[in-house]
Amino acid sequence: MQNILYLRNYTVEPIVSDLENLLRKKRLFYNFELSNYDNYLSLILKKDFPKKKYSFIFASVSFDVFFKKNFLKKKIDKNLCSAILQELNILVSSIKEKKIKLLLILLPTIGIYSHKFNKFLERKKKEIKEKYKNIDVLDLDELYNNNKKNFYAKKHWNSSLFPFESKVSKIISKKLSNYLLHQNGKNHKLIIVDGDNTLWGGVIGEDGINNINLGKNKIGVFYKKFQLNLLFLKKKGIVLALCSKNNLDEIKKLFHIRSKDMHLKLSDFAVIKANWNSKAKNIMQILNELNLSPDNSLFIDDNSHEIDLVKSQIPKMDCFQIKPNEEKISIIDNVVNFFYTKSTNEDKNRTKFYNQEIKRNIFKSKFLNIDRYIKDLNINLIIRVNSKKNIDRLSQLTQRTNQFNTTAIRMTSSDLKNYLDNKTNYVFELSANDKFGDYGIIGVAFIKTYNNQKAIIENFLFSCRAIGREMEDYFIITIIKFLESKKINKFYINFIFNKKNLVAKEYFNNKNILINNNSKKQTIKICKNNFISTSKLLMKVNYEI
Amino acid sequence: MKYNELDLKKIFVKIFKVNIKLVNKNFSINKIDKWDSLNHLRLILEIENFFDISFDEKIVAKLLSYKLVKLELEKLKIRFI
Repeated sequence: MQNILYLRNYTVEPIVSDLENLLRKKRLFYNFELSNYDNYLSLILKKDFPKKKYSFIFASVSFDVFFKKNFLKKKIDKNLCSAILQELNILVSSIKEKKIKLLLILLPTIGIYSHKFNKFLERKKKEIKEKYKNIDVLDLDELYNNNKKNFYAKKHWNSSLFPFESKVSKIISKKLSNYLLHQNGKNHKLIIVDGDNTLWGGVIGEDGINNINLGKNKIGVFYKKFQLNLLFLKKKGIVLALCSKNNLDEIKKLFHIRSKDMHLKLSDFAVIKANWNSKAKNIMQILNELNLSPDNSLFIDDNSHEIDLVKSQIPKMDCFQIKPNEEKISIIDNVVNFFYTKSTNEDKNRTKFYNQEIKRNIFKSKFLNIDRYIKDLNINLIIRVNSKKNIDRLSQLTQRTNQFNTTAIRMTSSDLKNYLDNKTNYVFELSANDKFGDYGIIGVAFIKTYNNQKAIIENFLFSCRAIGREMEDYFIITIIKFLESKKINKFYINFIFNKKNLVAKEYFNNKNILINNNSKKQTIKICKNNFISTSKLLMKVNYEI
Repeated sequence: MKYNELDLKKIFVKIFKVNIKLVNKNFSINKIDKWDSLNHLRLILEIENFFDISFDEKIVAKLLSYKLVKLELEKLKIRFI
């Protein structure tokens, strides 16, 4: 079991207890070690601090020992402000040196400190988020703004040094769980939503398009807010799909006629299934079309019967029954497994990528010969070696990719930077485009070389939306050719089998690189001949070396 | 608001990890070793969250038995069936 060191100077046990329950449901198990209230800084400053013992460090600190006395008091003197900053600096710099992943959970400062100091602290938070690759910040300011009256609980603070109201405590646990799910590739990538009484109030077929409730009253405002939440998630890289028991023409009319009342447009959905088939059947089709797993997907519907049917037929799928009465607490906080990290270009364009993918599949159906199809796509591959330009996206690929991920070793941006700092290591990244558009960065390979003779592909990942067009083959062959030019002549690949990377296992088995169902690390010899001949010239390869 | 008393009992079971049969009017801090300050806090948070209520600060420290918790909830217009 992996360990997490939880540094804190206030009570966090109820949060940790809920967090453990949430993680257990997702089959994730961590052992939490909590610091004492008064030794969190000295603990990590110790020379013999066992950094290898911990996978993560969480820090829930109020940054000042005076917090207890000054709870919720607005006026705090200059000495306290400088003490707070000093503690923050010591914490951040010591973690930076140790190169451990830290999640900094910052109490909202609004209403506690002076306006001037808050602005300063805001800048500091921004600096930490941008500058330190191994530090993530869980900023509670937004949560506070949405629940000002029910955020802090003076009674729990006075009795137990616990600052939060019960609902806020639950949300913080959920956010911490989302962070760990994200680190383990178990975050939601796809949200499939129903239409009637889910995206809008009312039933199109019964109420008529003009009577659909969007913003008319409290309930209508709820649906508009829900749409806004979904739009936010889409911008952060979560793919949306619509699955509704309606006629497609009616749905199109609603989005056209009521466009001013809607935050979402039809083009925000990567797939739309509007028909009278069962929801489970439609959902399976959506998952197939997008090549995504139910493990990483969430279905939202207002109808408990539909939810039960989907749960029974697709047990791995997360389902949520929406009720238009949760005004204060956002659905993002409660339901979606999502942790806010820096958005990459791929996040912003993800729906576009999936739309292009659907066009490619339609194009493919015109061909009987797969080589002819691939050639007619006019694929251009761009391969970069040891480029530090796209570290955040490469880190994201290690965290999001499950199906074609040979070892499932997750890396933060800081891990990647350290990997690249080692001169015997190579990181190859693959981008591509074709006649339907840009794929973005779709593949990455981490390679360790030994005495300029032997190379091991320590991890090989490929985005599931781009699998099956022989780009994987071209990528591996290009890597081998590059290493051969460095006089390396023995090549191996590491593989750790898990339930999710069956696609990668089958890919290599089809190439006569035999991988067994062993969850221990396997190192298998590979050679160019295992892969298709690039002499077929199905695509162009460009190097940026 | 009407609730099934079983829901309240289940919260005690979750926090103190005891058999539900033990959760009755005699269940109190004196009889349960696991009823320490942290579990008391967890109990209060779970109850407040589940019933969507907030106990008064003065009363929180006094809710040291199942019976007292149930009585206080009833004062907050929670009805059990």
